[in-house]
Amino acid sequence: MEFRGYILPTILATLLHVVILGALLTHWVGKAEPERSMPRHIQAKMIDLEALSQQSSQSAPPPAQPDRQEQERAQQREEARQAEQARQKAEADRQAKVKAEEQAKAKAEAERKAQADAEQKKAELAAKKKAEAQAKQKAAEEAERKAQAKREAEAKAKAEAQAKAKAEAEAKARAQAEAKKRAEQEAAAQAAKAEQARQQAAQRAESVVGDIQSYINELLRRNWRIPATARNGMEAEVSIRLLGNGEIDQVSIVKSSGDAAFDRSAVQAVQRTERFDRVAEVDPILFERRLRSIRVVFRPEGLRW
Amino acid sequence: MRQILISLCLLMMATASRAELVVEVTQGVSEPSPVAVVPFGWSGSGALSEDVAKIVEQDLGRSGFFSTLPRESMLSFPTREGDVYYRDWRVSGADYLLTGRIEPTADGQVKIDVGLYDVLKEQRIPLANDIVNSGSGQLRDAAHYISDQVFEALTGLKGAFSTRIVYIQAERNGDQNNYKLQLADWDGARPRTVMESNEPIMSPSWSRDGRKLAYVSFESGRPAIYVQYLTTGKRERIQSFPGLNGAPAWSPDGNQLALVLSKDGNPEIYVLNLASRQLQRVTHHYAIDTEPTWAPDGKSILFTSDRGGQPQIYRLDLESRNLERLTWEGNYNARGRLTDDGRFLAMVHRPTGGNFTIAVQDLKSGRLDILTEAGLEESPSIAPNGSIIIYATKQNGRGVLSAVSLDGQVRFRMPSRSGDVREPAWSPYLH
Amino acid sequence: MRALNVFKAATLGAAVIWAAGCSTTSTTTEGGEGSMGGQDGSGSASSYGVDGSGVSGGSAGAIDQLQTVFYFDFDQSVVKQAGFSDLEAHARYLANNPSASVRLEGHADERGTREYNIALGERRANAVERLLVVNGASSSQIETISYGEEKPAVMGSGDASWAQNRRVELKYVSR
Repeated sequence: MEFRGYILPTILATLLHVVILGALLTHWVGKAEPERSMPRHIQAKMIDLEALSQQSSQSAPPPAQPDRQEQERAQQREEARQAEQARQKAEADRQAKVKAEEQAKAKAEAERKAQADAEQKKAELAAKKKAEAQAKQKAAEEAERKAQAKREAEAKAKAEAQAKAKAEAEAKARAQAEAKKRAEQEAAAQAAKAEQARQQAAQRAESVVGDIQSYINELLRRNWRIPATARNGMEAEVSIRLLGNGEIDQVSIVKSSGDAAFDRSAVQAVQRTERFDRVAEVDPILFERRLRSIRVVFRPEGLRW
Repeated sequence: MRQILISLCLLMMATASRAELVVEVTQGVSEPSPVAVVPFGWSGSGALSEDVAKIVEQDLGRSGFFSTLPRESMLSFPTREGDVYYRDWRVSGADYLLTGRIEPTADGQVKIDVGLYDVLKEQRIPLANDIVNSGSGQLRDAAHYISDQVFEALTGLKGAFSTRIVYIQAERNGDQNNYKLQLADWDGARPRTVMESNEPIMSPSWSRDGRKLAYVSFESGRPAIYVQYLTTGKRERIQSFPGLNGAPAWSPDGNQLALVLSKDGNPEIYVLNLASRQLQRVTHHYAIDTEPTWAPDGKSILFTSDRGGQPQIYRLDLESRNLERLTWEGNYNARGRLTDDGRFLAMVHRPTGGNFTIAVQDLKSGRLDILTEAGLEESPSIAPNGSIIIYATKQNGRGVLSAVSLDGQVRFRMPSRSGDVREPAWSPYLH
Repeated sequence: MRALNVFKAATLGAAVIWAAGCSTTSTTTEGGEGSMGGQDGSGSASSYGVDGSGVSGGSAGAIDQLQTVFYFDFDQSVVKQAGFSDLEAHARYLANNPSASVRLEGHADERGTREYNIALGERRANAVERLLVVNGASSSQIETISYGEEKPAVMGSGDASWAQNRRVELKYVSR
């Protein structure tokens, strides 16, 4: 009694467990293989020549931009496609309706002909009336059909106009955005170009000056006789005024080493050099700004003492 | 952000363009400056006993500071400023030019008129005395005097061309030995004998006033230390203890004599007060302590000792008695001599496995440079201006004197006619 | 003063001989000579101390046959063993003839500095003197002098000349 009383609950419980297990299992199995959905914009591969040409003309577009553009265009296309489908469906509906009406009309005609066969004579006048009525009805139907067609055409035109307007507006906005972007990019490119040019000019000047610097160093090194009284750590600074042709105009000690022979050797190194020929090749503005007056520090390194 | 950077760059460029271009020259040519010493004109009759210009040229050339232009390379022979064409000398490669003309004077003497020129600057360099008066028999002195002036004008260092040297000359005549203490010009010219003996003479040393010599003589059969006045020839025996009496060295103030005695058993350094004759022993070691020399300030004595197993040079502070070993390179460093600024130590140095050379150690940096390589060098003595070291070496088995500039650039041999010449000692400035 | 030194050296040297193996690390500067002598003596004690069959000595003629020049290695003042027996004979002669006296002249080769070489020559002469004294001679009979490189026996440079110049010459002042 008692035992039997448990049977149903046990079965129910077992069933419930099985159901829960099954549900969990399917859930788990479903989870075990998660769907790997690819990001859509990667699949939507679109080749837009204009975009490409723009892309190539743009100096450095941000890397995320092409994806977004493609996405937008895909959406637009989708919208256009849906509009077209709607239009085609409306047309099909209309044609089906016309066909059904024609079939109905043919049937009515057959019936009328059979009746006419039976009551030809009887309904000569009536037939005329009827024909008149029929004509009237037909006219009405025709009017109705025309009105319907007109309404549809109007709706279609309106939809098309709307779509067109929308597309136009979008295109316009897009064009404007692009134009704006292009303008910005162009401006930035121009600024960069100008800056680059400035930097290049400065670099050129620097490299000319650096070149002259090492040239002067080389000539002086060849002409500097380090006196026996020189010691490591001695330093004499000489100021040189140059002429545009590279000739030495003036030379004087501006900072003495404290050793007369050392100072003299520094001045003599300059005087022995006589002229720095390559200074004459430097453009006059640069010469004026950087080379007219130079300083030379004579500081021996690697002497024995 | 970018704009800030750009403006920063522009700012830097602007400041950079305002700054003067600075060229740093750290390398040059370590060559002596070329000097042209033009033969001096002579307006008197007959020939002069000396070629004054030649002596000046040799002086300058041997100093290590200058090279001289051979007379064959001279395009002209100006004797006065008006005849100097700087271009010619520049082309010849001379940095400096010296001209001179010698005229007889009424009193039978000569007047030498010299001019020194900076060829590159095309300017005359003033000398302390452009006009030098001299007896016709003292032309060598006049020449050395001119060299001194030129040297000082060009280097800022006092010239040492009017100084003298003494040295020992030994000759063997059959069984008999003959030893001479000789005095000569710095270039070895005009030697004369100060003292002569059949027994060895050693270790001559100048007093700081240049008037006296101390030396070791074996004339009594044993070594003894003597002091001799150069002008009067008067001499005095200072020390004669049993054993060694050697290596006398005058203190800078001239009142003391450092010397070596072995009277207490082995060679030790002593300091003798010349006025009180008080003797003070300053080293105490059973090893050999010898060859004392004074630091220029007179506060310490450098000497050779083999207390470390091999001869090395040590410095003893006379007040604190602190002892410091100065030399560490090589296995034989001896007979140190200091430059007058106390910075450089010239010595006899034998590198491990090598021969005996003259080396200079910079006491500031510890750097040691070997200046000679013949192999049997000894007795370095430094010119009072520190520019040249004179030393003894062997040539064909005969002792000769050589000199080398402190930087090792210039080396030359002193003339010697005969015998074995050694132990040169350079005088202090004599004027 | 000198006599005292010689005496000291002699006693020290003798002590070293008889007490073979005695340490030579003495640091007294006054006894420097002695300590150096100790080194020489102790190194050679076994070879000549037992030599009893030497020249009988006593006659002046006998010493004429003896070696009078003793050679040294470079920068060394150790008497070579080759000279020991002759030096011993000289010592015996001096012991037997108190009126006789010798002069020991120390020399060096030309290498190195002159004053250092003088000191080296003195060291060599002193080394020979100690050998004479420990063998019976009296220090009062011996006079030493160093000439350093000032009186070379042979002129010229080279190993052969140098070897002949590094020497001590023993000369009889009186017999």
